[in-house]
Parts: sequence; C-alpha cells; structure tokens
Amino acid sequence: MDLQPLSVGDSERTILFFVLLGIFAYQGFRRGLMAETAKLVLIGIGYALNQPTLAGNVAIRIINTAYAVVHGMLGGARAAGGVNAAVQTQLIKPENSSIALFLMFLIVIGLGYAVSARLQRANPLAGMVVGLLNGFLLSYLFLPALPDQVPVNLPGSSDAVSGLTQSPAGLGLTGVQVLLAPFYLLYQQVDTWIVPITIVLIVLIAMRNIKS
Amino acid sequence: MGPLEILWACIIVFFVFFALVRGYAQELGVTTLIFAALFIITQFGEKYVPAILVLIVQRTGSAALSPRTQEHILSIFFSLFFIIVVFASYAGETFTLKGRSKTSGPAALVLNILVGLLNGYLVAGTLWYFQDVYEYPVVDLHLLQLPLSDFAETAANFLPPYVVPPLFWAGMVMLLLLFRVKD
Repeated sequence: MDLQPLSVGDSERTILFFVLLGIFAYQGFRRGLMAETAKLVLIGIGYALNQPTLAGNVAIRIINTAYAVVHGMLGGARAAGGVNAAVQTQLIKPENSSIALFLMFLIVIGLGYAVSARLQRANPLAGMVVGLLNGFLLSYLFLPALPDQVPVNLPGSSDAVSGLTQSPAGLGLTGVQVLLAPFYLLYQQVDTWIVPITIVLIVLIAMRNIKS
Repeated sequence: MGPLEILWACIIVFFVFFALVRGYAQELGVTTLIFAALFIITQFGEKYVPAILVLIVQRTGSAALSPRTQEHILSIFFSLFFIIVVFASYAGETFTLKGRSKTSGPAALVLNILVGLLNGYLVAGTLWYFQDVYEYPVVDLHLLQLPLSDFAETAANFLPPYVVPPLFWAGMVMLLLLFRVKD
C-alpha cells in the first residue's frame, strides 16, 4: 500500500484557532486577571527572547559571559588556554543559538503557567479577556509552526483517507496533529534529545502527583 | 514471527495495561529499577562483559568463539539480565515510591498511561536494542526475517540506549531515590 502523509487544511487550522481561543478564555475566566496578566507578561518576555534581534542575542551573551566567569573561577579558562579560551568556554555556541532561544522561550512560557497557578483568583471577566489575548498570542506564535502534514505516516493512510481532511472528520486528524505537534516541534529543535527530555517530564509529572 | 515493530507495540500495550491496574506510583518503582539496570548495562556491562567472556574462553582453553557466537551469547546474556530485573521489580515485595497515587479521574488515567508507555518503551526498546546492536541473532533461529520495514528502521534509531547517555540513567535513579527518602 502506498503510504501518503496526511495533510491538514486551512479550515481545520481555523477551527483549531477558535477552539484554542475558547479554551484560553475559559481558563482566563477560571484563573482571574492577575494570573492571566502574569502569563501575558511572561509570554511577551518569552517571545522577545525567541527573537535574536529583540532580546535573544543579549540573553545568549549574558549566559555565555556568566558561564565564562564561572568557568574561569573554576580554573577552566587557564586549562583551556590562551586566545581560544573565550571561544571554548561558550556555553551556547552560535550554531546552537536557535535551539537555546527556542528552549528559553518554552521555559519562560512554562514559568508563566507556574507563576499564574500561584496567584489569587479574582476578576474573572477581566481574566477571561486577558486569557483570550493570551490564546490569541500563543495561537499566533505556534499555529504557523504546526507542520502542514501529520508528522508520521499513519498506517493505512492513502489518498482516499487524505480526502477526509476536507470534511469534518478531518478535525480528528487535526487532533492527532495537535497532540503530535509539540513532539514534532521539539524534535526539530533538539533531535534525539527529545527522548530523555520526555522521560524526565513524565517522571517529574508523575512524582509531583504522588500524595505523601 | 511478524514484523518486529508489532511485537514491540504489543509489549508497550501490555505495560500500559499493567500501569492502569497497578497505578503510576507503583509503576515508578519499576521504572527506577529499569533505569538502574540500563545504567549498569550501558555503563559497565557492554564494556566489561565481552572482555570477561573472552577471558573465560581463554582460561577454559576452549577454541576462540566466532564473532557471531559472541553476539549470540552477549545478546542472550544482556536480555536475560534485563528480563530478570524487570521480573524482580514486579514480583514479591516490590520497590515503590512513598505516597499514594491518584486512583480515579482523568489525571490518574493519563498518568497511568504515560508511565505505562514509558515502562513499555524502556523494556521493549531495550530488548530490541540487544538485538539491533548484536546484528539480530534471532534471525539465525528463524524467529525474525530481515530486512526490517522502513518504520522499524526509523524506530530503531530511537531505542533507549542509543539516544540516552548512560549517566542520564544514573541521574534518574538518584532523582527517584531522593524522592523516595525525602519524607
């Protein structure tokens, strides 16, 4: 059987966009204004960090300088020796900068969620509006990054099945795409390191949910 | 035997069932021992066991083993060792993390499935690795036919010991043990 990657059309993407807005608005309503504002600020910081020209390059310079200082204090600079020491003590090398910035982006957004979970719940309606804005921003940032095709060849997929994407049944496919998209995006950035990262995440989440 | 990836998927599904029945707190105990076994095998076993095997053959005065025979022995040895560790982690008085896991609700379901998938991936993936790294000794026993499918070729690049450095396993064991003793 000829395996064809399944594609996802613009209509599904638009529906997904509105579904996400709805989810974020509901979440904003539940969490309140302060939590959503904190999230909005950190999404903004994360976005700025992910853009080299805005704050990304500065962040990398700060991290590399701090690393070089620590490395020097530990005697590593002398061991590395001479003129090339600065280059060798770069924690984030230029070829890895886009991966590092993307990870920083994700970490800051995660931080936004962690901070917002600890803030007082008040002003649900205003929270809903800011939540809507957060949903819009995150959709704006992440939806264009979604792969146009489901990142795996599903067994049994064919041209006939691909035709489903033009029908409401394609929404199910979009669901699969959304579930796999974070892994796909992460895989594009960190390659096989996605495996240890996923293992750590599963173990940490499970440990956090064990009641003493 | 059918495609290797089908067997692999079946093993993973079984581990998901185990996790659904036992709960993720108990399954994390199994995960801890799997991490420990993986660390021992990848950090020390693969380095020293082949050398010890050669030494034993030399000491016993036997004829030198052919490379293929060595691959058979090493594959069986590591697979058995790993299966025994996994079996021991389920049998009798088991190693579990302190505390109670959520027993109902969607969060518990998702966590059980996630930890089951993780254990299944680690067990099935590691057993597959012992075949892959030693050039599929089971082919000689007519239990598998090569070549692998395209999917299996791709999946084989993601087997746990290929994509995770040995010290990572040690770090995870330490993390889980610290969690167990913190109270």
